[in-house]
Amino acid sequence: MNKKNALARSRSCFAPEINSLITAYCFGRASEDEQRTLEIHVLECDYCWREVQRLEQALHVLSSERNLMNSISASDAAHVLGISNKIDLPFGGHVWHVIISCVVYAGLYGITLLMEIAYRFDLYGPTAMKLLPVVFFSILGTSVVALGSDCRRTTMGKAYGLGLSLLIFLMSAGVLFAALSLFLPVLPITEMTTPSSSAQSAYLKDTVYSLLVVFIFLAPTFHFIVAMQRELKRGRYKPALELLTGGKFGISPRGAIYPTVWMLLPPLIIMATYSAFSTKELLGHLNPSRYQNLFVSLIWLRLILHYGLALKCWSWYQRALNDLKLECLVAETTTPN
Amino acid sequence: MPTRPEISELLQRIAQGDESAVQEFGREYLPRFESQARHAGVRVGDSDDVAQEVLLATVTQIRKGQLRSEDAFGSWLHTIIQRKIADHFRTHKHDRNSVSLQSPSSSGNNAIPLSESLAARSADLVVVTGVHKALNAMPADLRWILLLRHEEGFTLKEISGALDMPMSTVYRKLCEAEELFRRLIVGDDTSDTEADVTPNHSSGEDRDE
Repeated sequence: MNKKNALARSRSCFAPEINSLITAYCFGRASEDEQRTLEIHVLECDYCWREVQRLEQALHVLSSERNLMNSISASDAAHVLGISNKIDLPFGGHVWHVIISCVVYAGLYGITLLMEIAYRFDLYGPTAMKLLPVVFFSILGTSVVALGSDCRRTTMGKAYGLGLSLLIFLMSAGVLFAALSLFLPVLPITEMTTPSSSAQSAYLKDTVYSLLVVFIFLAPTFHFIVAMQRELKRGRYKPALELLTGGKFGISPRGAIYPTVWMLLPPLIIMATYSAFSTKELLGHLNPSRYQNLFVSLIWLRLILHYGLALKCWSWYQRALNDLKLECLVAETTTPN
Repeated sequence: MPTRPEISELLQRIAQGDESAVQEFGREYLPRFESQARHAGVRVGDSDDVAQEVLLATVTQIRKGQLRSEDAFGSWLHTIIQRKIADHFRTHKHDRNSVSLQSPSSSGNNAIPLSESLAARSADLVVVTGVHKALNAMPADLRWILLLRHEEGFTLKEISGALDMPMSTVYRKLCEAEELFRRLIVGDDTSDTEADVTPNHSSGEDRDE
């Protein structure tokens, strides 16, 4: 055996589990035990020693070369700092938007329950107060699941995220209504000078209003933003900018519709006008009662939550669209053709 | 843990007093001793001294028959290295290096011949090119986090603030970036550059044979 053969280098490691410690060792993250294990191992394993040697030299270059940061271009910076890079975070980086929106949405259901039995609070109030946390947390939970599953599927490139999330919203509202039907009376509770609907049907009507806000303002906007984040993450800046700036060749991502900020205003105005009219009618025909004040307060609270949710989604959507446009613009203008 | 038969043969030759076996052993193991000394915080200029002392102690102990089982060769050698590093710090109390990851090729040995110096520079160039290539192959966010941490020396908290990311995400991405960087660097090491990465220790003799 000649000298070269005597120190022939092995082509694989006999202990892959120790080989996996090399990164932590070279980057200074290994524990004392790991360090000792690897150091003993590299004294016996040529394959791992070569890896350590090569990585150490590369690390030396990494820590001593002063021009490596130049490899970060403006378009890289736009990508890293931009909204698209947050897509891997929970809810695409929109955790607070999701939490606030879902809390308000769940609050709507709770307030509605109290509102519909307010005129007979002495009779139904104690049970309603017990049901209130159940209603609130069931809607909160299902809403978070709906948006979370949409985000997950959209991030993975699936087209049915929005449909699934709307289905979850619809089903949870349906199940809740079915469950509350066992509690809500089929008789009118709110005393009015004109014929009024039963507590059950009034609750169903309010549920539909709440769902409308979700179907118009919350779910589609959230879905579109996440879908666009995915597109930008894949580097499709040009078509995205085309779409966001209303270009002729703008195509929405698969499974998403692009509701422009201005498209959301007419439904908001229509809903607000109808609400103003119907609330005025309702308040004008209420019969005096010891719980009238409670009922009126709950109505106002519900309206605040209802339009607060719509406006919150609208303003969040506007900001998110601007962030998307900004990232597209920076990336597009700094990427060489 | 298995000991390679060729190492076993080398150890026997050392024990029998074969000086060429000692040189061969030194060529193979001095860089590893140096590397471990640097990892322990020994300054670059001192790590080769520590390595030489480890080599000397190793050869002496082999010849005294103190290596009882070749199966525990790695642990036995590691104990000697650790002892010599500890000795070094006892005699150089204020010399602990906080940044230990220095390349042996950059240790500033002025006495090496011109041909070896050129080989060293060429190897450095290969490493630099490899690093640039690896960085360019990395996703922008991972590259940026890796550079902020290891080139600019930012802390995780500073990176988290600069990139507007939670600390946990920065840490996760940093680990991912380091792993990817290693894969790209090491994966690049299947070609002819392999023999050239340690020019100070693998010149003349290896190629002659």
